[in-house]
Amino acid sequence: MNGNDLRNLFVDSLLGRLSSAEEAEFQKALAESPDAAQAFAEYKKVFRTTQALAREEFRAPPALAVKVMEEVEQYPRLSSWRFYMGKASSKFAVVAPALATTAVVCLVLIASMTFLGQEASESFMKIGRRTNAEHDYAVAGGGYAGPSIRGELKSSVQETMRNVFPSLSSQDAQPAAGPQANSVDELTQGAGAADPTGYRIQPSKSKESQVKIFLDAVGKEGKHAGAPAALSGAPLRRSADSQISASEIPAESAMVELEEKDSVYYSKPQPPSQQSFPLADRERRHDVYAPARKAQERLSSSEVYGQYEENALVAAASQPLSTFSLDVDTGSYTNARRYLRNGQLPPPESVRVEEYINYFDYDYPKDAAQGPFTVNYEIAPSPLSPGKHLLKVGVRTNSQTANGEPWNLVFLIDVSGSMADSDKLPLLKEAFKTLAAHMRPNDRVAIVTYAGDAGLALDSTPGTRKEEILRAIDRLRAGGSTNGSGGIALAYQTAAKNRITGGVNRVILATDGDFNVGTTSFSGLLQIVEEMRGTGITLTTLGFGQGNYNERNLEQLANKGNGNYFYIDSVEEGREVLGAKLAANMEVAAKDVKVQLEFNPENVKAYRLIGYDNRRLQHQDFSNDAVDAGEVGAGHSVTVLYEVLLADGPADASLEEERRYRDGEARVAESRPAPKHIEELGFLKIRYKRPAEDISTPLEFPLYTSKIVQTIDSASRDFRFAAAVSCFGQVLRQSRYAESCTLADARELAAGALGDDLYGKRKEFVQIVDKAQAVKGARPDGYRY
Amino acid sequence: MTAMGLDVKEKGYLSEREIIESVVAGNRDNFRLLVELHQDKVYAMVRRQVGDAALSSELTQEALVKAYVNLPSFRFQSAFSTWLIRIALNVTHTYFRSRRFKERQKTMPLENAEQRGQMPQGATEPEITERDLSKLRGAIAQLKPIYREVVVLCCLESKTYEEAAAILQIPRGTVCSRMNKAFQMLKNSLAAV
Repeated sequence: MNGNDLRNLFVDSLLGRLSSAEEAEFQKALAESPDAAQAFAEYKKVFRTTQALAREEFRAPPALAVKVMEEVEQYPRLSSWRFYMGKASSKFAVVAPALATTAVVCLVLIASMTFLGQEASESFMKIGRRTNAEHDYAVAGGGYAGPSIRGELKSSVQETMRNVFPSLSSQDAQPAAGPQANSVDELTQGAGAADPTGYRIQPSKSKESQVKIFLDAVGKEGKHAGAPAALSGAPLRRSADSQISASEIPAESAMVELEEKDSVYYSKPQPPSQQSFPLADRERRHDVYAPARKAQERLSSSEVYGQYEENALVAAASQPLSTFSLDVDTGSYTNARRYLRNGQLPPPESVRVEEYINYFDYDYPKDAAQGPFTVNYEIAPSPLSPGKHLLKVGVRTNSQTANGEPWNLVFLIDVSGSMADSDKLPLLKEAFKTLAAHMRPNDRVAIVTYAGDAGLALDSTPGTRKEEILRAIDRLRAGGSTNGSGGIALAYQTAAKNRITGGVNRVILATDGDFNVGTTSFSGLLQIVEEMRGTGITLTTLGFGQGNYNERNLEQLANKGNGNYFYIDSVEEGREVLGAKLAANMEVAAKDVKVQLEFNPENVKAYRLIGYDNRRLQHQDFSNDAVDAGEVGAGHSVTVLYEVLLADGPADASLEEERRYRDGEARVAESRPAPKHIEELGFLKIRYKRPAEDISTPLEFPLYTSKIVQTIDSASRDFRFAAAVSCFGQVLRQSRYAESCTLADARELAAGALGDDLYGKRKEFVQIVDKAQAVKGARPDGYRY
Repeated sequence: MTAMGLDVKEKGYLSEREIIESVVAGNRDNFRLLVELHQDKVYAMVRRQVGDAALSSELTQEALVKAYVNLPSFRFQSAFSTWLIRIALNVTHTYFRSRRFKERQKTMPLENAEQRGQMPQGATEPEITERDLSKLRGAIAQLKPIYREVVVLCCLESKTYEEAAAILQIPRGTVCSRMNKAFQMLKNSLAAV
């Protein structure tokens, strides 16, 4: 076996195409030739990478089948005569001219043979027996051109070519020279064109350069805000002072990477494979309902949600601290409502129980003496899991009404083709009209649209010119594909240009989350949002629609942008978010609000935080002001539920820990003085920053055991309602702690705790639970088919 | 659903051959069943060749419509999926020859995390980083179409040489030699980066 033969076997061996004898021979040959072994190792690396790549799964977008069928419907049925006529005529159209040409050529040939036949044959005979003189005649210009003349002709043509195209030969030699010869100007142009090699930029590099270019364009402090260089396409100069390299913020960028890794694409369990159907006949048969079911499944599975581990029941003795960031988003609940109205259960990954609970308003009395927050808490036996108690902590901001800060809002609206559905752009336009009505004279609003290109649909306009704003809203139309990053750049620029010092400067992104032809990687985008947050421009995201909805993107962007995330499923929700609740949503009363609750092991055996699964913080990050957390708007209130196992409650086997050094612990306990604060259940610490500050302020509230209510019936209506919502959320999330509560329990509990129900939200909740019961009952796996 | 004709309901099952015959006989709606059965395979193959999500779905759509129009000429001599993938390959070939592709190459979008397919959790091996994968994606994108298609079929879609040969309608030996050549190029371009 020589070297070449051996190399030819590399791929075969890697793909397992060799028989065992051949493989043995191959391995033997390989062992004899170290060079080949070296080369084989390189092949192996490539092959392993391809194998990793092969594991990538692709699924056709759900709309594909619909589109194909729409196009197919335009054709006549395959059996109809029109189809065959169409085919035949199209074939004939190709064949006919060819036939005609052939016929004409034949005729011409026949004619020439007839008329010139005599002469031609004579001259041919002459060449056959030509003399020297005749040969000379032929060479000088007669019918026969010998090889020498042909050679001359060829070289003269070549020479002419060389004169005309002097660079021809050198270019031939270097086909790759083209793309490298780009001008320096191109190097310094906008992010899309900044590709000196003409090939892909490596992601790490591109992220950095995009952030740089972007910040150059916007101006870090909004100083150079007037120069929209990146978008007009004019060359950008990278000035040293405004350049912020991504490497200067290593901690954050590392965090972005980490977060991306943590969240997992949501994927549903596969339906039983077709192989499991009886293969009695020779032909493989399949379940006719499978395609429909698969389509249904795909409809939901192309939506992307982050996936997070649920908070567990932990022993207060070993882990008394529970630390998390507050969350006032409500998108998860409205998204679930949309699913249920469509007759489907929401995917468990999309359920964030805390957002369900916080969707509803609870009545928290205000205590002005306590500073920026009032804390209310209530603890009563859990109606849902016997033996445990439920602790409800309500944190509300005391500044009920907004301080009247002027708003500088820039709406960044996705007008790509996918937004045309009735539950997307039309819904947004409707909600937007409510916003226009709520605007005060000092407020400004601008609209940036993005599809293939980004454009300014409405330059920043004060609230006095409502007519103009309404007209601009009416003009919005959907069409084109999405380039999210271009739009974001323009929106931030507009916001920076019209910055209101001491006001609310915010970009509001409205999209279905499908950034399909974006030139920026998602982590690059996050980084931009984070940078801009540093300059005081925050970001709120509004999610719309279904099918290819990407919640994970929107939630993460809003988190990074110190804004809120909302899912808008109906006109009412849109009006609420952009109307009644606008002040609370826009004006941040406190930012980076972190909560740490320390349970007193004397009174609490174990506890479990319900929800806030993606808001967990490390205990040491509680007092680290560099770590980002949630924002609370003016007049917002946030509710937190804990499931608590009191010290005198029943034993829980899952908490038993086997410890080798128990004896020592007991001895230490004996020698310890009597515990302090025996009357306390736990100790709540809140850290927050005022909107313009970077240093956090701590607040402390003890929770007393004396507040424990003996029966659930004596607990407040709000308490019972929140318990019902948490049960509903946990059932939908398929929580492992939700075994003891059912949707029927949730419904009963909620129906008995409607209260005043000013906006009818609680009544609607009861209907939603009914709907969920119906859907779940109809098919345990939640699908219609 | 209208996609299931009456006869389907009575029988409960319908073989692929029966579906195709029913479509040729004029039941246009049944074509949806074929689409739903095969669209993922076709889409994945196109996506691996082309890279871009929006474009792949466009080309897949084109291929599926072509398959419908040419369905009467399908003679059941190969598996339907083979035939379908061959059509899709022709469509991507046409695309790679088109001016549109050449224009697009100049403004090739950057690597986009959202553009990638779904990696099953825990499937990646520790020593292969995301960076390696994106390098390889780039290298495959740089291959000539004739090499790219063998790599996509044999390595990424795990088809055997025989299957690939049937799809590409070239001899098995040619698949073999193209694979060798392609691997050599991949190896070189990965070493060069």
